[in-house]
Amino acid sequence: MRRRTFRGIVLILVAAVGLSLAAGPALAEELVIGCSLPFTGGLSSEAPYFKDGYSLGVDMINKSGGLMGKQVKLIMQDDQTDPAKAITIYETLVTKDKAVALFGPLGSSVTAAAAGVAEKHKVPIVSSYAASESLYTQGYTYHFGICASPYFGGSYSVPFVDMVAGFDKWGPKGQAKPTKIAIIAVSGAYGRDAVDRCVKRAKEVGLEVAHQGLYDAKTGDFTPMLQKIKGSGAEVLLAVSYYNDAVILARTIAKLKMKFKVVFLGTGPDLPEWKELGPIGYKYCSAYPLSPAWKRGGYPEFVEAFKAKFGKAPIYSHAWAYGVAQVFKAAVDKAQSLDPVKIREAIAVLDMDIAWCHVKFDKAGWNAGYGGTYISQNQSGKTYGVWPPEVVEKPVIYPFN
Amino acid sequence: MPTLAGFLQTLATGIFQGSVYALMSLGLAIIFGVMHVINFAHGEFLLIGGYMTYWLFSALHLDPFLSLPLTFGAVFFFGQAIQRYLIEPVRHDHFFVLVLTYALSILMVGLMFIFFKSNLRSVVTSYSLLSLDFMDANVILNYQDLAILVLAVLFFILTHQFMSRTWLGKCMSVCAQDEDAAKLMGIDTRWVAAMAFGLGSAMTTLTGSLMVTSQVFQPGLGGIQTLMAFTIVILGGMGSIWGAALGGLIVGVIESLAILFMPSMYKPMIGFAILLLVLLLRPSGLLGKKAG
Repeated sequence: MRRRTFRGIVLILVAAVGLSLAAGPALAEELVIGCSLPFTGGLSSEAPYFKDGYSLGVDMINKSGGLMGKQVKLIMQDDQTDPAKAITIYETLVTKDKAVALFGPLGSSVTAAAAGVAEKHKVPIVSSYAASESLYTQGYTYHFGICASPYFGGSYSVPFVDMVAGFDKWGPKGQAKPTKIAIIAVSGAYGRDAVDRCVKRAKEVGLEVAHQGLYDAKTGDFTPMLQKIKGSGAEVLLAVSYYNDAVILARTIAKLKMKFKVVFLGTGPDLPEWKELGPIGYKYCSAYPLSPAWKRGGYPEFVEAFKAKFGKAPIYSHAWAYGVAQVFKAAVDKAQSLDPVKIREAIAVLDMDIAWCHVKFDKAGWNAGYGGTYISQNQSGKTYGVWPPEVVEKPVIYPFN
Repeated sequence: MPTLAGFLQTLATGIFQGSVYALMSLGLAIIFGVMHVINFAHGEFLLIGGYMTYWLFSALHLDPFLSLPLTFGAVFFFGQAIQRYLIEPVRHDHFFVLVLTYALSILMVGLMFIFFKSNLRSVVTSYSLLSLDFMDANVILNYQDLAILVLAVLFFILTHQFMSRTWLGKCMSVCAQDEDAAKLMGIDTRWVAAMAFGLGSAMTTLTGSLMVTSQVFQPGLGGIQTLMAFTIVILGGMGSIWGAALGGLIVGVIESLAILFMPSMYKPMIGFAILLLVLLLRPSGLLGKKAG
């Protein structure tokens, strides 16, 4: 009897753990906006920024009268950076929680899964962290990507290739221009796309692609890959990485004392937690989508509200997430309706500034109004714009080592 | 084709990685070998070691190697408590143990999220990058990695000596062979199980403490570590300590060298491919005892 009682208690505890992970139901008067975020998994380093940005965005919606006068409740669930889990979450958001709008998850693969659910149920979904071309050639009419556009090269990393090619404009006098580049990316829709676009661009501007390849996001060791790159003679490394891999890459490059002229990491060197690496993390370039010159679309108000709520300054990822809420608010105000079909139609014709860029979607859901990224470099722990010439804050520290 | 220096560098990295895999599996081999319990929270115990070391380093500036006794001691007692009060009542019901340790892993992940958030953590010391160029052959050997390799060998030797020469170690071996017979001999098997779980958990935590000096940690990474540890324990032979060492080394080296000749994205498959191949040829694992 004692053992059965103990087993019963164990089962209750397990059930309690599971139930505690479930979101509570919305009040009858509230509208639901839902999303999944990778609180665990390969993209989990980005999730906290989007969590804060989305929640501030919903605060903004509610403070400005809600959607058609109704307050909004935001439901966020952990998709573990897993497309299959995202499908389950978005199905539940639409069918059980009756979400009128969907905020996008992170990563092209997971967003593609969520977009499929949105398309099936005809509920609009707006993403701000999915740039793979394959997502926009599926024929989805209910998915819109703010941060994605083929109009500037189609990948955040392409401007870095342009920067290397434009060495004459920024390189120290007397130094030879680097000509061999290695291009690697995390495997998945976005990484494959990014490698293809960067390789294509490199060839267009006359750079020799000495090595190209994909790596698994869970790679704990980059030594073999870096050995291959070393053997190829590459002078420049372009790694379309997420934060996890960026940290390990930086540590491995330092550990192996690898020599490069300039190195680009997709995500990381511009994030606050990068400082934990200390000097190992200096001189890396990365893509920065928020121009220092941007002051429109409610950006100052966003910064003020963010500081008031969280007690610190926001970074571009927060603005990315906040912008999604701005799009939905503007769309519902334009449509004067909570019908998801009408909201979708309104999003499709938006032409407005948001907190970090201009938004104007084309038929595929690309943001034709997006101006592109600029390249920043981590210099002794601080990030400065280094390319293109019109946004340079400090010259590039060259060579890397 | 890679250069000789490239090959040697990759081989060295494989050996270092293999030593980490071996250590990662040692705790699981002890727990399963003695108690025949599958601990689904194995990866989370590893993360606890990393987080404890991270906190001691960042908040108290305690060197990660000097803090090893602290993390070992803390989790040794914690592991005993887990075994004595949670696992022991249901130890002979394998399904309940699986459910219990799975729930424990979820709870531990939740607590890690609360205290450390989902941010990636790692420890970078002033000596993290110190290295030597092996025989001036452009093969860089990092001193920290060498230290971890030496410690791994030392821990395996100490564990073997403990299991074969100490009274408690011999009790554990007897319990592993036949628990009923052990009881008849007057051995308090519940106490031995608690000590085994405490020791196994503490060894796992030590591995996490060492890993955080070269890798990044976040709360959700425990699952993949548990899977890899199970793979290596099965590869080496269930319950065999030296099997875990051999299995870890083989997987580490082959994984690294294989990537010289194939795309890096295939790396996660290599360990499992090795496991399948070994089990086809030797179902009991490399050093496991054959059934019957």
